[in-house]
Amino acid sequence: MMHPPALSLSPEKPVIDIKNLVTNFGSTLIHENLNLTIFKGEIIGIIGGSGSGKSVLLRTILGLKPPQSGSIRLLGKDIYQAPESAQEQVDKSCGVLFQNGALYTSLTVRENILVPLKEVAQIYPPFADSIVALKLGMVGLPLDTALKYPSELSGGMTKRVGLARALALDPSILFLDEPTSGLDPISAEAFDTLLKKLHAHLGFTVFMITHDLDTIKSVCTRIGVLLHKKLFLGTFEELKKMEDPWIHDYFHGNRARKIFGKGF
Amino acid sequence: MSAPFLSIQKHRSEIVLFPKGEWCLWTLGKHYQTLQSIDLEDRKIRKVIIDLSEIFKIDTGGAVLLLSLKKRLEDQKYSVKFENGSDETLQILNLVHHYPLNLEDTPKKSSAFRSFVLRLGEATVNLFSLTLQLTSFFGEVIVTLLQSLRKRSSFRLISFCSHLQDVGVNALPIVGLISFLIGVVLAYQGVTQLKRFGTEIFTVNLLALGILREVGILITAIVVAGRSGSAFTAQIGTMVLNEEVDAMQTMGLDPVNVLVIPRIMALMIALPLLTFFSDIVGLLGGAFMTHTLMDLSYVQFIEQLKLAITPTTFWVGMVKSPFFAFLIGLVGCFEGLQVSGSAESIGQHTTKSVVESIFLVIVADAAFSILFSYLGI
Ligand SMILES: Nc1ncnc2c1ncn2[C@@H]1O[C@H](COP(=O)(O)OP(=O)(O)OP(=O)(O)O)[C@@H](O)[C@H]1O
Ligand SMILES: [Mg+2]
Repeated sequence: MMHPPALSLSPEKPVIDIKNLVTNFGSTLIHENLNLTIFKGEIIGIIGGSGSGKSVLLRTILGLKPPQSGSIRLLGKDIYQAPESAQEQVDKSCGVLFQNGALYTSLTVRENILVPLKEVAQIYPPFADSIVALKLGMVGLPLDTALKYPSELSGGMTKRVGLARALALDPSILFLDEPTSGLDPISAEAFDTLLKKLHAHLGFTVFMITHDLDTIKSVCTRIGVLLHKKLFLGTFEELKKMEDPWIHDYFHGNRARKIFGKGF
Repeated sequence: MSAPFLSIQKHRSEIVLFPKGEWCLWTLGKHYQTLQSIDLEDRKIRKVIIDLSEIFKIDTGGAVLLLSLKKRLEDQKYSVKFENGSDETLQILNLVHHYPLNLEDTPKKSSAFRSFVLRLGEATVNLFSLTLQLTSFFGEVIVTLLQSLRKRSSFRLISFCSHLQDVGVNALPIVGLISFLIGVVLAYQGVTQLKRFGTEIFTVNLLALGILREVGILITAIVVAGRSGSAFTAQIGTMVLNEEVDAMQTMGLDPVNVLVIPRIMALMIALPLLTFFSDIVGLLGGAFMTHTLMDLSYVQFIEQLKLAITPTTFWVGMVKSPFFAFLIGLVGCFEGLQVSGSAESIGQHTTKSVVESIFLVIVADAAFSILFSYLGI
């Protein structure tokens, strides 16, 4: 039996570093002077009300939505300053699970998982099959899913295929937008276990948007609350003590109490 | 035998393999082929050790390769063991070996003849079922149309008007331009041919009959099929993919009433008007060309036009247009509702919609010709 390595936090070199980020749609500000620093090996859970700008933050970090001002460094490179090489960096070292799966509808599950691989390496058919089988196994899907088309999958299966595709390149940063929404509680728990296991073995960094209180409690090393256009980052214990009404309600509401225990 | 990323040492009682360097996805393409060709070719020594100490970096792809190498050697009756791996390497191997590493159910290729017969059968059955479905859709549309004529309130006036703008008003420039050019082309051919007999004045008759009876309506119908029929398919198809059509049904809204009827009605109003416009502009183009080529004044052109045609000539072309409009709208909406599954399917059905509607328009035109010749018009 092998043990996962201890989390190796290296404070001198952040994986994601966001400084004074401002994003907007027309005249609506979504983020105002938002700061966020994430180190290697962390699992950051982002929470916040619906429409508070979590998905937009994710798209901004990935280089899909240029900010109004501020800087975003991914693995030390400013992605909006040196777009070409930085975008390649994003392609190679990031795995992304979008909120709606974003699978290619005209490709089978197998081909969907192979898309990122084909971009970076020459893949021979039997080997490709092994990789697809491995990734499907990892996310807990039966192997016969490989030949199905996205329209033949359930919502939860779509999420898992999206995750399998995000894992295809063994990314060093994994971005997940609500990975457990739409999963049954058992699958959601299996997802938590899987994420912890993969994280322990592969040592990636995770940026995860989630509404799932269980996931936040059991998986995340730090939690970011997106509120009033800013991000409040802290450990579970730190956030619990914050005064803000929304954060207070979040950690002390009925659902939270059931999950986090009566103690608070 | 050795490769830069794998060296092989033979000892007295065992063979040691040293995988080296980066065993990561980007480098694996090269590794894979060489690994497949590795053959230890040793009859006596049955013990193989894979020494992992020189692996500098490994990911799940590399682990898959190592594990499949191990499996292949084991299938050749070697006993294989991993040794000296770093924590990281062992962890990844340990993770990966829990999971299946091949897809058993890859589809088997059937013989060419078999698949030909299969495809032929499939295409035949599809053709019949498509005809059947189109016919039943036709019935559904007619019934809904009659209902909305009886019960005015169920008619979607706003949607109808916006489609009318789209398929009618916005099509004016392109229909006008094409008709004008066709008029010019016809006049040019007519003048050059008829000049030989000194009867070039009859170019006007040729233009009048050709454009009013056939060309005006056909050109307009084809442009509209390409412009609006395809748009109908793409719009409705996207809504089907987005489950908007399902949502409509659960709210008690009939997709035929909400989506199809306003579109078809808009086309049936717009196409006759566009045809009229096309007739006029086509004749203008002809007049312009005859004026340039044979110094025929516009007044003379109109005088000759009066001799050449009767109101029937005009109505023979006009009367076809609502029917063509109905066909184009019907096929466009039908193909849109047939969309399923993927973005690719929208493309396929849009193509089909244009091809089918143009085909049907021309078939219908031929049918009208036969009918008119019986009636002696
Ligand atoms: N393309 C767009 N154009 C205009 N406004 C947008 C666009 N995308 C998002 N917004 C706005 O930005 C805000 C943040 O949206 P976002 O998708 O990030 O929410 P979210 O925090 O992910 O919510 P949820 O938890 O419901 O997914 C919302 O108010 C939304 O209306
Ligand atoms: Mg979102």
